Amino acid sequence: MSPLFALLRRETALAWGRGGGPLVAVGFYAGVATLLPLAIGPEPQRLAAIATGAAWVALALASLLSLDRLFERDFEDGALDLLTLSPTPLELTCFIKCLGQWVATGAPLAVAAPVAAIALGAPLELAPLIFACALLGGLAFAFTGGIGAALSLGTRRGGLLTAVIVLPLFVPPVIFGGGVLDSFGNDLPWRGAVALLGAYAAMAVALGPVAMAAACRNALS
Amino acid sequence: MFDFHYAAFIVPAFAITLAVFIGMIVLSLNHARYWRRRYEDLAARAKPPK
Amino acid sequence: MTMTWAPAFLSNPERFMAFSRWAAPMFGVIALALGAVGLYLGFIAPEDYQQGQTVRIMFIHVPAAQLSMFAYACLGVASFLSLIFRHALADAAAQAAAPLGAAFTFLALITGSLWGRPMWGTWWVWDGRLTSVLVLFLLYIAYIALRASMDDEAKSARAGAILALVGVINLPIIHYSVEWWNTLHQGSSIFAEGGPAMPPVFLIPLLLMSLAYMAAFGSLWLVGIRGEVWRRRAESAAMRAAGN
Repeated sequence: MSPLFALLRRETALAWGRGGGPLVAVGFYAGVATLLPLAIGPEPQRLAAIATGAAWVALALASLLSLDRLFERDFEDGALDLLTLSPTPLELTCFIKCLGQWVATGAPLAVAAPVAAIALGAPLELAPLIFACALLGGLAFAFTGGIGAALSLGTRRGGLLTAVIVLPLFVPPVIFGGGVLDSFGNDLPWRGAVALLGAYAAMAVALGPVAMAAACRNALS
Repeated sequence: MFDFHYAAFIVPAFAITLAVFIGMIVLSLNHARYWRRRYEDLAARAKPPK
Repeated sequence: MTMTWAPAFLSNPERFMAFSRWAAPMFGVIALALGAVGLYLGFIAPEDYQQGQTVRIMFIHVPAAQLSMFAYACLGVASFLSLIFRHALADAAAQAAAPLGAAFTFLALITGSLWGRPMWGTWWVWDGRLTSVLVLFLLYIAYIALRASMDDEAKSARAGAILALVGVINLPIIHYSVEWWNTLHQGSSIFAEGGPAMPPVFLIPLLLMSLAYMAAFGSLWLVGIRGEVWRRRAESAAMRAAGN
Protein backbone atom coordinates (compact mmCIF):
# COMPACT_ATOMS: atom_id res chain seq x y z
CA MET A 1 0.00 0.00 0.00
CA SER A 2 1.46 3.32 -1.00
CA PRO A 3 2.16 5.78 1.82
CA LEU A 4 -0.19 8.38 0.32
CA PHE A 5 -3.07 5.96 0.28
CA ALA A 6 -2.27 4.98 3.86
CA LEU A 7 -2.33 8.64 4.82
CA LEU A 8 -5.66 9.16 3.09
CA ARG A 9 -7.08 6.15 4.92
CA ARG A 10 -5.78 7.49 8.21
CA GLU A 11 -7.23 10.97 7.63
CA THR A 12 -10.59 9.68 6.50
CA ALA A 13 -10.77 7.26 9.40
CA LEU A 14 -9.89 9.98 11.88
CA ALA A 15 -12.39 12.44 10.44
CA TRP A 16 -15.01 9.74 10.23
CA GLY A 17 -14.44 7.93 13.46
CA ARG A 18 -13.56 10.45 16.14
CA GLY A 19 -16.12 12.59 17.86
CA GLY A 20 -19.18 11.53 15.94
CA GLY A 21 -17.63 12.21 12.53
CA PRO A 22 -20.13 12.94 9.79
CA LEU A 23 -23.02 12.59 12.22
CA VAL A 24 -22.14 15.93 13.82
CA ALA A 25 -21.92 17.80 10.52
CA VAL A 26 -25.12 16.26 9.17
CA GLY A 27 -26.87 16.81 12.50
CA PHE A 28 -25.86 20.46 12.47
CA TYR A 29 -27.03 20.74 8.90
CA ALA A 30 -30.42 19.22 9.76
CA GLY A 31 -30.70 21.55 12.74
CA VAL A 32 -30.11 24.68 10.66
CA ALA A 33 -32.53 23.45 7.99
CA THR A 34 -35.14 22.93 10.73
CA LEU A 35 -34.65 26.37 12.26
CA LEU A 36 -35.07 28.18 8.95
CA PRO A 37 -38.78 27.51 8.40
CA LEU A 38 -39.37 28.19 12.08
CA ALA A 39 -37.89 31.66 11.67
CA ILE A 40 -39.32 32.42 8.23
CA GLY A 41 -42.78 30.89 8.50
CA PRO A 42 -44.25 27.70 7.10
CA GLU A 43 -45.91 29.13 3.95
CA PRO A 44 -44.80 26.78 1.13
CA GLN A 45 -44.36 29.54 -1.47
CA ARG A 46 -42.17 31.64 0.71
CA LEU A 47 -40.07 28.64 1.72
CA ALA A 48 -39.79 27.30 -1.83
CA ALA A 49 -38.42 30.64 -3.00
CA ILE A 50 -35.47 30.37 -0.62
CA ALA A 51 -35.17 26.57 -0.40
CA THR A 52 -32.08 26.03 -2.56
CA GLY A 53 -30.32 29.16 -1.32
CA ALA A 54 -30.96 28.27 2.31
CA ALA A 55 -29.82 24.69 1.79
CA TRP A 56 -26.65 25.99 0.14
CA VAL A 57 -25.78 28.49 2.90
CA ALA A 58 -26.44 25.87 5.57
CA LEU A 59 -24.06 23.56 3.68
CA ALA A 60 -21.32 26.21 3.75
CA LEU A 61 -21.81 26.65 7.49
CA ALA A 62 -21.90 22.92 8.17
CA SER A 63 -18.65 22.38 6.28
CA LEU A 64 -17.00 24.86 8.66
CA LEU A 65 -17.78 22.65 11.63
CA SER A 66 -15.10 20.00 11.74
CA LEU A 67 -12.43 22.22 10.17
CA ASP A 68 -10.87 23.30 13.44
CA ARG A 69 -9.91 19.69 14.20
CA LEU A 70 -8.37 19.17 10.76
CA PHE A 71 -4.84 20.19 11.83
CA GLU A 72 -5.32 20.94 15.51
CA ARG A 73 -5.48 17.30 16.61
CA ASP A 74 -2.23 16.44 14.85
CA PHE A 75 -0.66 19.69 15.99
CA GLU A 76 -1.40 18.93 19.63
CA ASP A 77 -0.26 15.30 19.73
CA GLY A 78 2.87 15.93 17.65
CA ALA A 79 1.73 13.92 14.61
CA LEU A 80 2.08 17.04 12.48
CA ASP A 81 5.78 17.20 13.38
CA LEU A 82 6.21 13.64 12.16
CA LEU A 83 4.27 14.37 8.97
CA THR A 84 6.57 17.34 8.33
CA LEU A 85 9.65 15.16 8.72
CA SER A 86 8.39 12.45 6.37
CA PRO A 87 9.71 12.35 2.78
CA THR A 88 6.25 13.26 1.50
CA PRO A 89 6.14 17.03 0.89
CA LEU A 90 3.96 18.80 3.42
CA GLU A 91 1.91 20.31 0.59
CA LEU A 92 0.90 16.83 -0.53
CA THR A 93 0.12 15.83 3.06
CA CYS A 94 -2.16 18.87 3.42
CA PHE A 95 -3.82 17.96 0.14
CA ILE A 96 -4.50 14.44 1.42
CA LYS A 97 -5.80 15.76 4.73
CA CYS A 98 -8.31 18.00 2.99
CA LEU A 99 -9.28 15.18 0.68
CA GLY A 100 -9.94 13.00 3.74
CA GLN A 101 -12.02 15.81 5.23
CA TRP A 102 -14.01 15.99 2.02
CA VAL A 103 -14.63 12.24 1.92
CA ALA A 104 -15.62 12.08 5.59
CA THR A 105 -17.81 15.20 5.91
CA GLY A 106 -18.23 16.75 2.43
CA ALA A 107 -19.72 13.60 0.93
CA PRO A 108 -22.25 12.89 3.72
CA LEU A 109 -23.31 16.55 3.60
CA ALA A 110 -23.73 16.28 -0.17
CA VAL A 111 -26.11 13.39 0.42
CA ALA A 112 -28.03 15.40 3.01
CA ALA A 113 -28.20 18.57 0.90
CA PRO A 114 -30.89 17.49 -1.60
CA VAL A 115 -32.96 16.04 1.24
CA ALA A 116 -32.87 19.33 3.11
CA ALA A 117 -33.60 21.38 -0.01
CA ILE A 118 -36.58 19.21 -0.96
CA ALA A 119 -37.91 19.30 2.58
CA LEU A 120 -37.79 23.08 2.34
CA GLY A 121 -39.78 22.94 -0.91
CA ALA A 122 -37.29 22.68 -3.76
CA PRO A 123 -38.55 20.67 -6.77
CA LEU A 124 -37.52 17.01 -6.92
CA GLU A 125 -35.82 17.38 -10.36
CA LEU A 126 -33.23 19.56 -8.70
CA ALA A 127 -31.97 16.76 -6.43
CA PRO A 128 -29.21 15.34 -8.68
CA LEU A 129 -27.89 18.80 -9.44
CA ILE A 130 -27.90 19.79 -5.77
CA PHE A 131 -25.98 16.62 -4.96
CA ALA A 132 -23.41 17.30 -7.68
CA CYS A 133 -23.01 20.94 -6.69
CA ALA A 134 -22.67 20.06 -3.02
CA LEU A 135 -19.98 17.54 -3.90
CA LEU A 136 -18.07 20.06 -6.02
CA GLY A 137 -18.68 22.92 -3.62
CA GLY A 138 -17.62 20.70 -0.72
CA LEU A 139 -14.25 20.34 -2.41
CA ALA A 140 -13.90 24.15 -2.52
CA PHE A 141 -15.12 24.47 1.08
CA ALA A 142 -12.69 21.81 2.36
CA PHE A 143 -9.64 23.24 0.59
CA THR A 144 -10.25 26.93 1.36
CA GLY A 145 -11.37 25.97 4.85
CA GLY A 146 -8.12 24.11 5.39
CA ILE A 147 -6.23 27.39 4.92
CA GLY A 148 -8.17 28.96 7.78
CA ALA A 149 -7.70 25.87 9.94
CA ALA A 150 -3.94 25.84 9.35
CA LEU A 151 -3.58 29.58 9.96
CA SER A 152 -5.38 29.46 13.30
CA LEU A 153 -3.10 26.69 14.64
CA GLY A 154 -1.70 27.67 18.01
CA THR A 155 -3.91 30.74 18.38
CA ARG A 156 -5.97 31.55 21.41
CA ARG A 157 -9.37 31.05 19.80
CA GLY A 158 -9.00 28.43 17.08
CA GLY A 159 -12.51 27.51 15.99
CA LEU A 160 -14.10 30.93 15.88
CA LEU A 161 -11.03 32.45 14.23
CA THR A 162 -11.14 29.78 11.52
CA ALA A 163 -14.72 30.81 10.73
CA VAL A 164 -13.85 34.52 10.59
CA ILE A 165 -10.94 33.81 8.24
CA VAL A 166 -12.78 31.38 6.03
CA LEU A 167 -16.23 32.93 5.59
CA PRO A 168 -15.11 35.77 3.27
CA LEU A 169 -13.25 33.19 1.19
CA PHE A 170 -16.48 31.19 0.88
CA VAL A 171 -18.11 34.06 -1.03
CA PRO A 172 -17.27 32.84 -4.57
CA PRO A 173 -18.29 29.17 -4.09
CA VAL A 174 -21.49 30.21 -2.31
CA ILE A 175 -22.34 32.57 -5.18
CA PHE A 176 -21.48 30.12 -7.96
CA GLY A 177 -23.25 27.18 -6.33
CA GLY A 178 -26.31 29.23 -5.49
CA GLY A 179 -26.20 30.56 -9.05
CA VAL A 180 -26.24 27.08 -10.57
CA LEU A 181 -29.31 26.04 -8.58
CA ASP A 182 -31.08 29.36 -9.14
CA SER A 183 -30.45 29.34 -12.89
CA PHE A 184 -31.53 25.71 -13.25
CA GLY A 185 -34.71 26.37 -11.28
CA ASN A 186 -35.56 29.34 -13.52
CA ASP A 187 -34.72 27.57 -16.81
CA LEU A 188 -31.71 29.75 -17.40
CA PRO A 189 -28.36 28.51 -18.75
CA TRP A 190 -26.65 26.93 -15.74
CA ARG A 191 -23.64 25.09 -17.17
CA GLY A 192 -21.47 28.20 -17.08
CA ALA A 193 -22.03 28.52 -13.36
CA VAL A 194 -21.06 24.86 -12.84
CA ALA A 195 -17.85 25.59 -14.75
CA LEU A 196 -17.15 28.60 -12.51
CA LEU A 197 -17.78 26.54 -9.38
CA GLY A 198 -15.49 23.84 -10.74
CA ALA A 199 -12.83 26.42 -11.59
CA TYR A 200 -12.90 27.83 -8.06
CA ALA A 201 -12.75 24.33 -6.58
CA ALA A 202 -9.81 23.47 -8.86
CA MET A 203 -7.97 26.61 -7.83
CA ALA A 204 -8.61 25.91 -4.16
CA VAL A 205 -7.34 22.34 -4.59
CA ALA A 206 -4.23 23.58 -6.42
CA LEU A 207 -3.25 26.57 -4.30
CA GLY A 208 -4.83 25.82 -0.91
CA PRO A 209 -2.29 23.12 0.10
CA VAL A 210 0.61 25.54 -0.59
CA ALA A 211 -0.84 28.08 1.84
CA MET A 212 -1.73 25.35 4.36
CA ALA A 213 1.78 23.88 4.28
CA ALA A 214 3.31 27.34 4.77
CA ALA A 215 0.96 28.00 7.69
CA CYS A 216 1.71 24.59 9.28
CA ARG A 217 5.48 25.09 9.00
CA ASN A 218 5.06 28.50 10.59
CA ALA A 219 2.99 27.11 13.46
CA LEU A 220 5.55 24.37 14.12
CA SER A 221 8.64 26.58 13.87
CA MET B 1 -23.50 76.29 -2.54
CA PHE B 2 -24.58 74.08 0.33
CA ASP B 3 -28.10 75.02 1.46
CA PHE B 4 -28.74 72.36 4.14
CA HIS B 5 -30.96 70.29 1.89
CA TYR B 6 -30.61 66.65 2.91
CA ALA B 7 -28.62 67.85 5.92
CA ALA B 8 -30.02 64.86 7.84
CA PHE B 9 -27.78 62.61 5.71
CA ILE B 10 -24.93 64.93 4.83
CA VAL B 11 -24.19 66.11 8.37
CA PRO B 12 -23.95 62.58 9.85
CA ALA B 13 -21.75 61.46 6.95
CA PHE B 14 -19.28 64.26 7.63
CA ALA B 15 -19.58 63.90 11.41
CA ILE B 16 -18.83 60.16 11.30
CA THR B 17 -15.92 60.73 8.92
CA LEU B 18 -14.52 63.39 11.24
CA ALA B 19 -14.96 61.13 14.27
CA VAL B 20 -13.19 58.21 12.57
CA PHE B 21 -10.33 60.46 11.47
CA ILE B 22 -9.94 61.85 14.99
CA GLY B 23 -10.03 58.31 16.31
CA MET B 24 -7.34 57.16 13.86
CA ILE B 25 -5.11 60.14 14.68
CA VAL B 26 -5.47 59.82 18.46
CA LEU B 27 -5.01 56.05 18.50
CA SER B 28 -1.99 56.11 16.18
CA LEU B 29 -0.25 58.89 18.08
CA ASN B 30 -1.04 57.36 21.48
CA HIS B 31 0.19 53.94 20.38
CA ALA B 32 3.45 55.44 19.08
CA ARG B 33 3.95 57.65 22.13
CA TYR B 34 3.17 54.89 24.61
CA TRP B 35 5.66 52.43 23.12
CA ARG B 36 8.30 55.09 22.58
CA ARG B 37 8.16 56.03 26.26
CA ARG B 38 8.13 52.40 27.30
CA TYR B 39 11.17 51.68 25.14
CA GLU B 40 13.04 54.72 26.45
CA ASP B 41 12.26 53.72 30.06
CA LEU B 42 13.55 50.21 29.50
CA ALA B 43 16.65 51.44 27.67
CA ALA B 44 17.41 53.92 30.46
CA ARG B 45 17.05 51.21 33.09
CA ALA B 46 19.30 48.84 31.14
CA LYS B 47 22.07 51.47 31.02
CA PRO B 48 22.09 53.25 34.39
CA PRO B 49 23.75 56.70 34.22
CA LYS B 50 27.36 56.61 35.32
CA MET C 1 22.06 62.20 -5.08
CA THR C 2 22.03 58.55 -5.94
CA MET C 3 18.75 56.97 -6.82
CA THR C 4 17.67 54.38 -4.28
CA TRP C 5 14.82 51.96 -4.65
CA ALA C 6 12.40 53.24 -2.03
CA PRO C 7 11.77 50.04 0.04
CA ALA C 8 15.51 49.28 -0.03
CA PHE C 9 16.23 52.77 1.20
CA LEU C 10 13.60 52.43 3.93
CA SER C 11 14.42 48.86 4.92
CA ASN C 12 17.06 50.10 7.34
CA PRO C 13 15.11 50.81 10.56
CA GLU C 14 17.37 53.70 11.58
CA ARG C 15 16.97 55.36 8.21
CA PHE C 16 13.24 54.71 8.28
CA MET C 17 12.88 56.33 11.70
CA ALA C 18 14.90 59.35 10.57
CA PHE C 19 12.83 59.66 7.39
CA SER C 20 9.41 59.13 8.98
CA ARG C 21 10.21 61.60 11.76
CA TRP C 22 9.75 64.51 9.38
CA ALA C 23 7.75 62.75 6.63
CA ALA C 24 4.81 61.83 8.90
CA PRO C 25 4.04 65.41 10.04
CA MET C 26 4.72 66.69 6.53
CA PHE C 27 2.13 64.34 5.02
CA GLY C 28 -0.25 65.36 7.80
CA VAL C 29 0.11 69.05 6.94
CA ILE C 30 -0.35 68.31 3.23
CA ALA C 31 -3.50 66.32 4.04
CA LEU C 32 -4.92 69.15 6.13
CA ALA C 33 -4.18 71.79 3.48
CA LEU C 34 -5.57 69.73 0.58
CA GLY C 35 -8.57 68.67 2.64
CA ALA C 36 -9.39 72.25 3.63
CA VAL C 37 -9.28 73.48 0.03
CA GLY C 38 -11.10 70.41 -1.25
CA LEU C 39 -13.91 70.71 1.29
CA TYR C 40 -14.24 74.44 0.66
CA LEU C 41 -14.52 73.93 -3.10
CA GLY C 42 -16.81 70.97 -2.51
CA PHE C 43 -19.22 73.02 -0.45
CA ILE C 44 -19.36 76.11 -2.68
CA ALA C 45 -19.92 73.93 -5.77
CA PRO C 46 -23.44 74.08 -7.19
CA GLU C 47 -25.72 71.15 -6.45
CA ASP C 48 -25.73 68.27 -8.88
CA TYR C 49 -28.72 68.11 -11.22
CA GLN C 50 -29.31 64.46 -10.28
CA GLN C 51 -27.87 64.02 -6.82
CA GLY C 52 -28.79 67.47 -5.49
CA GLN C 53 -27.01 68.41 -2.30
CA THR C 54 -26.05 64.81 -1.53
CA VAL C 55 -23.23 65.15 -4.05
CA ARG C 56 -21.25 66.60 -1.11
CA ILE C 57 -21.10 63.11 0.41
CA MET C 58 -19.27 61.95 -2.72
CA PHE C 59 -16.29 64.10 -1.76
CA ILE C 60 -15.71 61.99 1.35
CA HIS C 61 -17.17 58.71 0.07
CA VAL C 62 -15.17 58.17 -3.12
CA PRO C 63 -11.75 58.83 -1.51
CA ALA C 64 -12.62 56.47 1.36
CA ALA C 65 -13.54 53.75 -1.13
CA GLN C 66 -10.30 54.31 -3.05
CA LEU C 67 -8.27 54.16 0.15
CA SER C 68 -10.01 50.97 1.29
CA MET C 69 -8.53 49.21 -1.73
CA PHE C 70 -5.23 51.10 -1.76
CA ALA C 71 -4.60 50.16 1.88
CA TYR C 72 -5.20 46.48 1.08
CA ALA C 73 -2.72 46.75 -1.77
CA CYS C 74 -0.22 48.22 0.70
CA LEU C 75 -0.99 45.40 3.14
CA GLY C 76 -0.42 42.88 0.34
CA VAL C 77 2.91 44.36 -0.78
CA ALA C 78 4.19 44.70 2.79
CA SER C 79 3.11 41.12 3.56
CA PHE C 80 4.85 39.85 0.45
CA LEU C 81 8.09 41.61 1.41
CA SER C 82 7.80 40.37 4.99
CA LEU C 83 7.19 36.79 3.85
CA ILE C 84 10.01 36.70 1.28
CA PHE C 85 12.69 38.70 3.12
CA ARG C 86 11.48 38.06 6.69
CA HIS C 87 11.92 41.74 7.26
CA ALA C 88 10.58 43.09 10.56
CA LEU C 89 9.94 46.56 9.17
CA ALA C 90 7.84 45.17 6.31
CA ASP C 91 5.78 43.30 8.87
CA ALA C 92 5.39 46.44 10.98
CA ALA C 93 4.12 48.16 7.82
CA ALA C 94 1.60 45.37 7.20
CA GLN C 95 0.40 45.38 10.77
CA ALA C 96 0.00 49.17 10.78
CA ALA C 97 -1.84 49.24 7.43
CA ALA C 98 -4.63 46.83 8.44
CA PRO C 99 -6.54 48.90 11.05
CA LEU C 100 -6.27 52.02 8.88
CA GLY C 101 -7.60 50.12 5.88
CA ALA C 102 -10.44 48.73 7.97
CA ALA C 103 -11.30 52.27 9.15
CA PHE C 104 -11.38 53.62 5.59
CA THR C 105 -13.49 50.66 4.46
CA PHE C 106 -15.88 51.33 7.32
CA LEU C 107 -16.09 54.98 6.26
CA ALA C 108 -16.75 54.00 2.65
CA LEU C 109 -19.62 51.73 3.76
CA ILE C 110 -21.17 54.26 6.15
CA THR C 111 -20.96 57.30 3.87
CA GLY C 112 -22.19 55.21 0.95
CA SER C 113 -25.15 54.13 3.03
CA LEU C 114 -25.93 57.71 4.05
CA TRP C 115 -25.77 58.72 0.39
CA GLY C 116 -27.90 55.80 -0.72
CA ARG C 117 -30.79 56.45 1.65
CA PRO C 118 -31.94 59.74 0.02
CA MET C 119 -30.82 58.71 -3.48
CA TRP C 120 -32.08 55.14 -3.76
CA GLY C 121 -34.52 55.25 -0.87
CA THR C 122 -32.69 52.47 0.94
CA TRP C 123 -29.72 52.20 3.26
CA TRP C 124 -28.20 49.29 1.46
CA VAL C 125 -28.54 47.57 -1.89
CA TRP C 126 -26.90 44.27 -2.67
CA ASP C 127 -25.09 45.75 -5.58
CA GLY C 128 -21.87 44.22 -6.87
CA ARG C 129 -19.60 47.03 -5.82
CA LEU C 130 -21.11 47.50 -2.37
CA THR C 131 -20.95 43.80 -1.64
CA SER C 132 -17.31 43.63 -2.70
CA VAL C 133 -16.44 46.43 -0.28
CA LEU C 134 -18.31 44.62 2.49
CA VAL C 135 -16.31 41.43 1.85
CA LEU C 136 -13.13 43.53 1.84
CA PHE C 137 -14.11 44.77 5.30
CA LEU C 138 -14.53 41.16 6.45
CA LEU C 139 -11.06 40.34 5.11
CA TYR C 140 -9.57 43.19 7.14
CA ILE C 141 -11.40 41.93 10.24
CA ALA C 142 -10.04 38.42 9.65
CA TYR C 143 -6.48 39.74 9.32
CA ILE C 144 -6.71 41.85 12.47
CA ALA C 145 -8.34 39.01 14.42
CA LEU C 146 -5.62 36.56 13.36
CA ARG C 147 -2.84 38.97 14.33
CA ALA C 148 -4.49 39.70 17.66
CA SER C 149 -4.79 36.05 18.65
CA MET C 150 -1.13 35.08 18.24
CA ASP C 151 1.43 35.97 20.89
CA ASP C 152 4.63 35.02 19.12
CA GLU C 153 5.69 38.01 17.00
CA ALA C 154 7.46 36.07 14.24
CA LYS C 155 4.68 33.48 13.91
CA SER C 156 2.00 36.15 13.91
CA ALA C 157 3.90 38.00 11.17
CA ARG C 158 4.13 34.99 8.89
CA ALA C 159 0.58 33.77 9.48
CA GLY C 160 -0.73 37.28 8.85
CA ALA C 161 1.32 37.59 5.67
CA ILE C 162 -0.01 34.25 4.37
CA LEU C 163 -3.59 35.35 5.04
CA ALA C 164 -3.03 38.76 3.42
CA LEU C 165 -1.66 37.12 0.27
CA VAL C 166 -4.52 34.60 0.17
CA GLY C 167 -6.79 37.65 0.36
CA VAL C 168 -4.92 39.40 -2.46
CA ILE C 169 -5.41 36.35 -4.70
CA ASN C 170 -9.06 36.04 -3.70
CA LEU C 171 -10.12 39.68 -3.95
CA PRO C 172 -10.35 39.81 -7.77
CA ILE C 173 -12.22 36.49 -7.75
CA ILE C 174 -14.60 37.73 -5.07
CA HIS C 175 -15.15 40.93 -7.04
CA TYR C 176 -15.79 39.00 -10.24
CA SER C 177 -18.12 36.52 -8.54
CA VAL C 178 -20.15 39.28 -6.94
CA GLU C 179 -20.45 41.13 -10.26
CA TRP C 180 -21.53 37.89 -11.92
CA TRP C 181 -24.06 37.28 -9.16
CA ASN C 182 -25.44 40.77 -9.70
CA THR C 183 -26.07 40.23 -13.41
CA LEU C 184 -27.62 36.85 -12.64
CA HIS C 185 -30.28 38.46 -10.49
CA GLN C 186 -30.85 41.26 -12.99
CA GLY C 187 -30.04 43.82 -10.35
CA SER C 188 -30.01 47.01 -12.35
CA SER C 189 -26.53 48.40 -11.96
CA ILE C 190 -26.79 51.66 -10.12
CA PHE C 191 -23.50 52.83 -11.51
CA ALA C 192 -23.86 53.89 -15.13
CA GLU C 193 -21.09 52.29 -17.18
CA GLY C 194 -18.82 55.04 -18.36
CA GLY C 195 -21.41 57.56 -17.24
CA PRO C 196 -21.37 61.21 -18.16
CA ALA C 197 -18.00 62.81 -17.54
CA MET C 198 -17.90 64.64 -14.24
CA PRO C 199 -17.80 68.42 -14.67
CA PRO C 200 -14.62 70.10 -13.35
CA VAL C 201 -16.58 71.89 -10.65
CA PHE C 202 -17.01 68.48 -8.95
CA LEU C 203 -13.92 66.76 -10.32
CA ILE C 204 -11.41 69.24 -8.84
CA PRO C 205 -12.64 69.05 -5.24
CA LEU C 206 -12.94 65.25 -5.59
CA LEU C 207 -9.36 65.02 -6.81
CA LEU C 208 -8.15 67.25 -3.98
CA MET C 209 -10.00 65.14 -1.43
CA SER C 210 -8.54 61.94 -2.90
CA LEU C 211 -5.04 63.36 -2.57
CA ALA C 212 -5.83 64.59 0.94
CA TYR C 213 -7.00 61.11 1.97
CA MET C 214 -3.91 59.58 0.40
CA ALA C 215 -1.64 61.96 2.31
CA ALA C 216 -3.58 61.35 5.53
CA PHE C 217 -3.18 57.61 5.08
CA GLY C 218 0.55 58.09 4.40
CA SER C 219 0.97 60.13 7.55
CA LEU C 220 -1.04 57.79 9.78
CA TRP C 221 0.66 54.76 8.29
CA LEU C 222 4.11 56.16 9.05
CA VAL C 223 3.04 56.98 12.61
CA GLY C 224 1.64 53.46 12.95
CA ILE C 225 4.87 51.88 11.69
CA ARG C 226 6.91 54.05 14.07
CA GLY C 227 4.72 52.84 16.92
CA GLU C 228 5.22 49.23 15.85
CA VAL C 229 9.01 49.71 15.64
CA TRP C 230 9.07 51.11 19.15
CA ARG C 231 6.81 48.37 20.44
CA ARG C 232 9.15 45.71 19.07
CA ARG C 233 12.20 47.49 20.48
CA ALA C 234 10.49 47.84 23.85
CA GLU C 235 9.50 44.19 23.87
CA SER C 236 12.98 42.97 23.02
CA ALA C 237 14.42 45.34 25.64
CA ALA C 238 11.99 43.89 28.20
CA MET C 239 13.06 40.42 27.12
CA ARG C 240 16.74 41.29 27.64
CA ALA C 241 15.96 42.88 31.02
CA ALA C 242 14.15 39.71 32.09
CA GLY C 243 17.05 37.59 30.88
CA ASN C 244 19.65 39.47 32.94
